[in-house]
Amino acid sequence: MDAMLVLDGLTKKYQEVVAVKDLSLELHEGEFLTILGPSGSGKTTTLKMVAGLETPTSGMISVNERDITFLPPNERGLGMVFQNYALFPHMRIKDNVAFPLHMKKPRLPEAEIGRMVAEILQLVQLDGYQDRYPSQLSGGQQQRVALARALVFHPPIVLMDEPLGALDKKLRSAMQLEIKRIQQKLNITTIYVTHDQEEALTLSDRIAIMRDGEIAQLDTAKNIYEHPNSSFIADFIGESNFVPVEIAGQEGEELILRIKSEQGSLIRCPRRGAQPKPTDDLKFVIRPEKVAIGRDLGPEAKLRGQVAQVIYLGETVKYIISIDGSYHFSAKEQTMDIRSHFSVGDLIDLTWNSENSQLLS
Amino acid sequence: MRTRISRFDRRPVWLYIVCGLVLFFLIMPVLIIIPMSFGGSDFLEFPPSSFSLRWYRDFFSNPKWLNAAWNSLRIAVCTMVLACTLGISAALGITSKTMKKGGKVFNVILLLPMILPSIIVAISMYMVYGQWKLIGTYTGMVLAHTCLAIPMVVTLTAASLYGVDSNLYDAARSLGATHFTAVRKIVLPLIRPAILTSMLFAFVTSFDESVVSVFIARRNTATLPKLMFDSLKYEVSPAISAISSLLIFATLAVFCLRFVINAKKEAAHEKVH
Repeated sequence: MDAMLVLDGLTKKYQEVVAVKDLSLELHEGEFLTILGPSGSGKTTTLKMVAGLETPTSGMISVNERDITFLPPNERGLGMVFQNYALFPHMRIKDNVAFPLHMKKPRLPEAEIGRMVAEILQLVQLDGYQDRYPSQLSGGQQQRVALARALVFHPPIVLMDEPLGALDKKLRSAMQLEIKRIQQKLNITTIYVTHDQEEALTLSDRIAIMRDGEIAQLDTAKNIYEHPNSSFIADFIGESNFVPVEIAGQEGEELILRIKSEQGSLIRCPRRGAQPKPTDDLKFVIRPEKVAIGRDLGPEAKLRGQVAQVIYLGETVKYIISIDGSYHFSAKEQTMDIRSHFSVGDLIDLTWNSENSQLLS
Repeated sequence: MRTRISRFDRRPVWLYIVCGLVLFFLIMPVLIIIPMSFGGSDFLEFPPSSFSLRWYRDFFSNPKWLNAAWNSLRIAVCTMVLACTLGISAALGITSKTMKKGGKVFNVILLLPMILPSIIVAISMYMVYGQWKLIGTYTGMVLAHTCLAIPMVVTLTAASLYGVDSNLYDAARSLGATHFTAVRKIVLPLIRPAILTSMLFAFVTSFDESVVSVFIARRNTATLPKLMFDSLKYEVSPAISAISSLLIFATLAVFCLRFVINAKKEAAHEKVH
């Protein structure tokens, strides 16, 4: 399958500041790609360059093998949903949605426009609101209008810039499902920008995590979560334990790591990829929910520690466990299977499936 | 809730007195001219000893005054159209994202005619327009008044444009609108109130203008303020007060029209909500 959208070596500089640095990625038809990153990571700038609202300093953008790098936005034919909806306040809902259709050349017959507007409003479940003004709708409804307006002219690609940023949590998760439903129904190729990792995991086929203008990792949601390629990603997506370690030795496919502490307990970790340089600032990384705890686990035990804090979170209980008296390790347990409840000061064993642990720099 | 508001509502008496005095000094000299214009004597007097409409009759039967009024109106309308077209275009440029620092410099240059003392502007225009053979022409009058009205238009519309979310323009562009269409269909409708106000102020700026007009208008292009100035040189006749009153009424009428339009629009908007 050929790539539908190709970004090749895209760079954007503002005077001395590099907002986006040599960014390349490919998007296939019907794919939902999320660009995820902290604020200032260049994700919105990237999206705006694709939309034509920013001009890249260098690099190329092409859609279906047509170079659109320097095409004005109105000739790109891409749909865009803005963070604050950007509905035209002086136009009724139907005129907002019909706007891109009225811009089409040659002109579409009015009846055709009316039919398309009604159809898309039905799809976003807003039929009956045609004659209202944007200010008369709730945030969620305005978001649906923005979506309808970006989809009504059947663009090959839809760009969404934090479209749910202004909604409350409940509404946001409802709208996520809604966007996913519509995206799949119309099989629209989508680039979605957000700083909300949960949103990214819910919606995306693939996620590109950006940091300082570069893609730090581009992979499926599952791979990014299970196998982050840097401690930045492990920290940014979900929660992780980071234990500073040094390499103490090697046994077959396993590395022996020594925790940088006075006691210097040893941990084993599977070796993946290239041999890390011993000079690197190495960290042993594992997610809290992959850590199991218990009393006297015998040979299963990988580390010993002391419970320093117990935090009840509703769905889960989080234990903060002090290792070697200097590092804090967290472990999460589903409240469902709390058979043995530990309290502060208890000495416990920690264990995990070594496939879930990683050595990162 | 209600009691708390009323506690702040009770303002000190001296505040009312100060406000009253300010209003008095602002309006009184202007208002005093209206009863004077209805006087029947040959001299300006207040309060008038007799009542008559003779000075108004004088105005409407004198072709010199009527011609000046017609000139004023024509020049003001042309100024309004020209100043708004240029001023709004300039404001769009100044406020555009692509013009970060240059916009501010440009803005100050555009404001100069408003900042400089009008007598200096008038003398410089007199010199230059003399060279260009624009003295005593309608073109000259409209150009001069346009220069004076542009700062007003730019200031008013730029302030309003800064309030327009730039995403709306971007959205229009991404939905297929050209730059021109996006400005015409989205940006301009959103700053409509500011445009109407600028049109009004541009009109009034020209209609009331006297200093520059005294220098560059001649008999055939004389506006009302210019003719009033000239006739004051020879006599202080009650005819002037009649004409002043008419000007006051005309100006007030234009402003009232603006308020009525506004009120109507608001009412229409209310109905929708």
